[in-house]
Order: sequence, then structure tokens, then C-alpha cells
Amino acid sequence: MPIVVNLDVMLARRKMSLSALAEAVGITLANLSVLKSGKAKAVRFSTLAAICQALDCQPADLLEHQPDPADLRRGAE
Amino acid sequence: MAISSFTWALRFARILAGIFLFVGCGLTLVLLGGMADAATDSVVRLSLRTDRPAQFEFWYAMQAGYEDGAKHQPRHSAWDKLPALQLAPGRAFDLVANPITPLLRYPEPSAPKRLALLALGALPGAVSVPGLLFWIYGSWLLLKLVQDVTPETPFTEANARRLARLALLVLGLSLWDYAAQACVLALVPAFRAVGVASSLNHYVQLSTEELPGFQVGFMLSVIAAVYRRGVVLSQEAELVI
Repeated sequence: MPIVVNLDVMLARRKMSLSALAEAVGITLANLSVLKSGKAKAVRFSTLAAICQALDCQPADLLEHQPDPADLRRGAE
Repeated sequence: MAISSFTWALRFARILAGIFLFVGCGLTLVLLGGMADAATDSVVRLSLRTDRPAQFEFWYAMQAGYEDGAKHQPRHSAWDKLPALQLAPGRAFDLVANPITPLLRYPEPSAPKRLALLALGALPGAVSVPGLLFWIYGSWLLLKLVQDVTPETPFTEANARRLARLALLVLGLSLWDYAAQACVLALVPAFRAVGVASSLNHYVQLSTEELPGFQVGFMLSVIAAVYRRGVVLSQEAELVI
């Protein structure tokens, strides 16, 4: 997956624990762990907005595009 | 509202599947009783179809179609019908009047053959082994399926497997029907009656004819494939945060 979730970086910057964020956002700790570990397939805009609100950041602070060189080669062909 | 009706439908389905399974257990006792009777009674009674041969019917239909086409005549309507009731006291068999269908009655000294005919579903009023398998295993799969389903988790991997097994069971039994017909032809002597081209063992009716056929099995396998796709989608949806 070329999308990297930098939730752990933002949590460290804000000195916030995952459980505190889960409580602030209103989603389960298990779901937040799935997001943090990069196993999530998709993120709802409402969830993203709630996390940005709680961490006082932008979506770009949380998500990063790191394309696989193999994917780029396929696109160029 | 929709969840509530779904919950009620699930409860109803669980009760019904439990009743099916209970009936299946009762049918086991009926089969055991039938086996005891067949083991002791040396006379075999087989119900016959009167309008057309029951064994490999498609073959007769195809033959009739070819004959009609060759003679340029309209579609075949007069089948090779069984004649009116005839008693054959001097022969090895007789045809017995019955309120539903005539019975072919003949002495069969071999108990294994009698038991095999019972297991194949050739003896009228008796439960066949394939029928029992369908009732018990099918009801068991259905019961486990509805027990696993909840309004929150309608799609589960285990239920996808159960649906596929149910489809395979129905398809397998519909194919087995042809094997059973061949076994009946081999087990029942080829008695001849006046005015009938085919021997009487071609007219023996099997109780497995009442089981769901190939079409139902095909429908179930399509539903199982669609359900499996639903399982994959629901697993993906679980990873949407």
C-alpha cells in the first residue's frame, strides 16, 4: 500500500496516547490500532476530520504517499 | 424495523431447521424399521410409473424426438405406457392394484438385494439413504447456518462453506439419481409384460425423484458464490475506519 499513515508521529508530537485519541475521536481502540498499523483499507472523511480535529493537524500530516518504484514503472509503460 | 423483522425471520428459520433435523432423526428410525422388514420379507414390492419409463427418462424422450423428426410427425404424445392391470399367476411376478400406482411384486431370495433396493429408494413408502442424507445433513447445515447468522454479521466464512456444501449435496444427489437408476436396472429382473417394449424394471419409481434436482443445486451454487463475494466485501468493510 503506497499510502503511509503517520498517526504515531502525530501522536508523539502531541504527546497523546492512542487510547486518549480513541476516546476523543469516538472510535474503538481496535479500529484506531488498525489505522495506525497501516492495515486499514480506507478511512472515512468523518473519521479523518475527527482525528485532525483532535490532533489539531491537517490530513497531509497524517497521510503520506510513498509509491512503490514498481508501481511507477507500470504506469509509465 | 428491518433489523427486527430479520431477527424474527432468523428465529423462525432456526425453529424450522430444528424441526427438519428432528424429522430427519425420525426418518432414521423409519429407515431402520424398513430395513428390518426388508431383511425378513422375501417378497419385493416396487411401485411402477404408468405413463412412461421412469429409468433414464431423458433417453426415451430423446429417442421419441428422433423418431418424430424422422417421420415428420408432431411431437410424440403416446408414450410406451404400462398396460392395464394384469395378473400373471403362472409367472415369476405379478402386478398388484394399488390406490396410487400399480406394484410389481416378485420373490427376491437375496436379502442384500432387497436391502439395496430399500436403500436406493425403490420400495414404496420407505425412506431412501440419499433422502435421509439430504434431510439430516441438509438440515444440519441449515441449522448451523442460521445459528451463525446475526443481524450484525450476516456474512461469515463458515456459512459460505456451508452454502457451498449444501449446493454440492444437492448436485451430488441429483447425479446419484442416475447411478441409482442404473443400480435398480441391475437389481430388478427384466420382467416382460404384454404390449410393453421395455422391461418392467424400467418403470420402477424411486422415492429420490422427490428430492431437489440439478436446477436447485445450480441455484444454490450460484447463491453460494454470491454469498462468498459478500463475505470478502464484509471483511474489507471491517478494515474501513
